[in-house]
Amino acid sequence: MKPPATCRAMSCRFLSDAMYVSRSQTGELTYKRAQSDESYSYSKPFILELEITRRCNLRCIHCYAESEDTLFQNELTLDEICRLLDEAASLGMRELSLTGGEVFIRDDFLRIFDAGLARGFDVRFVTNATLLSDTIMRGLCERPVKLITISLDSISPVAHEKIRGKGSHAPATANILKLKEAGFNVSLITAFSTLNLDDFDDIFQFCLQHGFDWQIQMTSAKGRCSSRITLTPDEYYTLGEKTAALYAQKLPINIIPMDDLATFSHFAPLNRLSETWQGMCTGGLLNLFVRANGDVTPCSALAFPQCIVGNIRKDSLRDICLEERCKHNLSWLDSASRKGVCAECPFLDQCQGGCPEILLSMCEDPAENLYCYHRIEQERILKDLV
Amino acid sequence: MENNILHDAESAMKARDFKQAIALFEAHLSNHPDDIKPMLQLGICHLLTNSTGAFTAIYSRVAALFLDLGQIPSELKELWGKYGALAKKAGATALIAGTVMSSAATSGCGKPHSAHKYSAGVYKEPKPMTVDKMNTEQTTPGEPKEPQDSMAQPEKPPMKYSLHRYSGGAYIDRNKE
Ligand code: SF4
Ligand code: SF4
Repeated sequence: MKPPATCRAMSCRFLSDAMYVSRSQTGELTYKRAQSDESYSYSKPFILELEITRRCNLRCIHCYAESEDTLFQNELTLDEICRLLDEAASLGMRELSLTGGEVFIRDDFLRIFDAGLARGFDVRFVTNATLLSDTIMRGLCERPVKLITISLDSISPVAHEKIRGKGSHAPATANILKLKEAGFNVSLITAFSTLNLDDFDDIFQFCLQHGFDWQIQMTSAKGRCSSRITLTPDEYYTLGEKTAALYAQKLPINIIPMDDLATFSHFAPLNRLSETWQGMCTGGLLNLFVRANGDVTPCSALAFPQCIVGNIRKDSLRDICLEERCKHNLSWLDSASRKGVCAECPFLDQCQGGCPEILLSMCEDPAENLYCYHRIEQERILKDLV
Repeated sequence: MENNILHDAESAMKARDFKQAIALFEAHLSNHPDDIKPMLQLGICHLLTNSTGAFTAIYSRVAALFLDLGQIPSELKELWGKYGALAKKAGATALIAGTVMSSAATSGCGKPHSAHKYSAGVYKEPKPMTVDKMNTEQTTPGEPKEPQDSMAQPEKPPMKYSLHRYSGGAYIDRNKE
């Protein structure tokens, strides 16, 4: 299917999101969007990440939301979502990122999309791309879509389906290409575990061949994901090295290392990944996550009970933001509370211990990050030379 | 006494107390400025505390010492090889003008002019790069750039732009050096 003449997918400017960031004397970050003079902080984050359902046609073994094809009780209705969007827009939030579960499984997906557009949001979404019907495709072609991010765990059907289930690979790859062909901004996202680490090069070649930006992250042990398939620190290092080797090149596609891969290293090109780290977790500051049951956490990566800062059925979004609840929730991340290698680390002021998702799901003690290039390099050098 | 200092320095290094290890290695080197093994160990401590300049300076100093000797002592060959590999990975070798130890050891070519001089304890590391220097700006931003045409290659934004990314979408500069 070709997009109709009214398709505005290409009018969205992925690259217009550049932000200035400034740091106050007290260490607080403020973001300023390059093309306007709007600034963003804990009291007014930039992106609303909205989990519109936990329901999903797939049952991936690493799903943090423990999604499956069942009706979950208590999910936000369209009316509740509209009220939430009213509040978010009045606060000045500017971008809406719809996630799931699987977003296309909701009959009112396009109505939710329109509710975002009507309130002035740039709207993008994350999908497994297996349920792209003609109706949805036509609907998308009639709307300005900022970005479509699609999960792809392997080019090989065997590895992909080991993670995402039988029959999930062919429709996903076909629809990825169909959406690209229709002119949408499409980026792929791969979460690496022991099940697909060997597929790294093939996925990259696929992205390069078709011009997809590629987000790379590590699968973490939360939700349905067992620690049996997560990477060891040494494998994490390998993933970092592979990612950095691409990131350091001038490629026609963007290589996007997620925050879990942005720890500090002494060696090139691995040390380039920390360029993308903001000096601290920006959960609640750049992005704020609302779950399908209304719970609010600072980031979609922080879907842990201890990170819930409120529920939009009981609390107003305005209060959650103006009271800077995310900042308070994440105050345990301050440099002074780090332990072990982190406490003594020469990069501590710049790093603050790394992504809290990893600290909470992959580390014995959240005060010390085991998934860190500096730490791994230190261990290896001392073992080898002393 | 001297041996005790070295023993304590190595123990501190093993225990990752690099501050203490550096102090002890430097104390030893102030009396034995040409003792190469502790000098290299000191360099490793500097590398692991992100004092890359001091690490590089030691690489340069030891390379010069080996040139003076005309060879690498056999008991240091392995350590020097590993040190050199680390220096290469850290990008340090590129910073040192004219020090290529492999050729120095074999051809006995002229003495290199080292970019740094390290004699125990006197090297002053420049201030480490801070987050602000790395990717943030203290001041109010100036005029923003016009959005780029999506088909054109955008110019590399100045460092005061954040290279931010977040779950489900991202901005990363396309024109990385
Ligand atoms: S040791 Fe800790 S503080 Fe240092 S770079 Fe690693 S995660 Fe960051
Ligand atoms: S939780 Fe991790 S992924 Fe989310 S904003 Fe913080 S550092 Fe980034």
